[in-house]
Amino acid sequence: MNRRQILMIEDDRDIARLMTMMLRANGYDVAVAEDAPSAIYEAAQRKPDLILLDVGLPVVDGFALMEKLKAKPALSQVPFIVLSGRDRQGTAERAARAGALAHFCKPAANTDLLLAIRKALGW
Amino acid sequence: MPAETSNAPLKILHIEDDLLDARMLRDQVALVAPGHFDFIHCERLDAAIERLAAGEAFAAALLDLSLPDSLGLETFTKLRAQAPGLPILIMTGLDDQSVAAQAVRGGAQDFLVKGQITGRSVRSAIDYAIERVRLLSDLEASRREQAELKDQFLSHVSHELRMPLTVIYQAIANLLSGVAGALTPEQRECLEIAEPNVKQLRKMIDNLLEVARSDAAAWRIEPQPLDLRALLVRVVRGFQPVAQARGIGLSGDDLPAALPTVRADPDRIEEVLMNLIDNALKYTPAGGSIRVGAALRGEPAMVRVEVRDTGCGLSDAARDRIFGRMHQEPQPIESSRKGLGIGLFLCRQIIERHGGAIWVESELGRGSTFIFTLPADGATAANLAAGRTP
Repeated sequence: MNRRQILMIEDDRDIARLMTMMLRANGYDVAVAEDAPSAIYEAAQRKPDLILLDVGLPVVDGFALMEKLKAKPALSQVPFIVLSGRDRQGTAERAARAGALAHFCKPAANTDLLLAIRKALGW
Repeated sequence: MPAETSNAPLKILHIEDDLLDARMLRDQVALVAPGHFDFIHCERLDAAIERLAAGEAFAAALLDLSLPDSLGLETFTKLRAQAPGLPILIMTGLDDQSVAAQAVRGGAQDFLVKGQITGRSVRSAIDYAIERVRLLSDLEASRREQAELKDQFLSHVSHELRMPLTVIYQAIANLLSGVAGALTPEQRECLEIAEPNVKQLRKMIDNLLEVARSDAAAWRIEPQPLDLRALLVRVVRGFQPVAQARGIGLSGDDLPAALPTVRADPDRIEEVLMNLIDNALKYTPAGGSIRVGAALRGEPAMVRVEVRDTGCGLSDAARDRIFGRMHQEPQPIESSRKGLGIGLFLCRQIIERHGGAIWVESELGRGSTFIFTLPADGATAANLAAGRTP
């Protein structure tokens, strides 16, 4: 079976483990990157079908990382879904402007997130 | 004594239309403190304001309130509006000291009575005024710094508290959705009890942070056209299972078929509604009822929303206190859970920031009706009033 590849950029290991479990059970292959350098490396290696990005990364601004990834020709067409902590700073707007397909405040309900992923991947 | 900061004379804006008075004061001061001040003299208020507007800096101002182009307290308020940080000393005659006292209450540093001054008294009054204003502004700066530190700390604490909760929530969600395998009914029941409690804890942390923030700008409202009726229906529906479980009738039957759109922040208004219904549930006994209604009212057009319960009601005193910070009514029906007592305080902040009002009508033992209003969107309100459905 041809499982779709998701690259999850998430610095919190517990969240990453739990979301990976959820996504795998729903038929996706998941790779996790905990910081910007490994995100750039993994994205280039795996050419994921979708990127789940937590914009609240330490050190690097998540949106700056997203721009960097989108600038690579091999990744320019990959859909992004943005996750953030509490949204009172207009993160949803920023995500939309940066070209993300959807934005969720953590914790996102599994069903909502899965629906957005299915939509993004076209099934 | 205030410290002598440098040997350069302090530039004083001296606003006085009586040339003789002006001359005398300067001479008196020059005798006891030669070269200490450099008086820049203006006979009219507009001339003084012009110099300030041009960016000229002064250490302090001596101001006669009766000038050719301005009289009384107004003279002071105009000068102060032009230069809010400038120490101002009022020069007054024996007959108008009460106006001078008023100016001091309004922020003037001091007043000097003409004919009773000496060079020495003028010198020290000006020096002390400058020193006082400097201390006050230092104090204000340090207060601001403290407030900023507090906000940073709160924001950090709230982030740190939320992260583990997010992890717990995700773990529960995984289990409940069967991702980790099938559950026995008892296991499912445990998780279904845990889940809303995690949500409640998160909500409390969020509320606490909002209330504790000193920075008013943190209270962001993002208004957009909002279908209030749809929101009301959705929130009422969301609470129905809880109400049913407690034997309380919850209905939106009083909602009209159509309501005008309002300009409001959907998340914030949902928060207010959830708070009001949650409160009504807390204070209404089994067998009681909660009705949510809405109507378009008045000129300018406002949409009025009410949450009416048949609970224990409120005393007159409680009605006045209830929207205050950290207020709690003593006896919710479900008495083990009180929450933080900041829900209604937040509701009031939110509604008032939308340009609406919130209040309660209640009688002890006969239930309470919480009412809030939001400005209606003009066009859709006019359509509704004319009997057209949008």
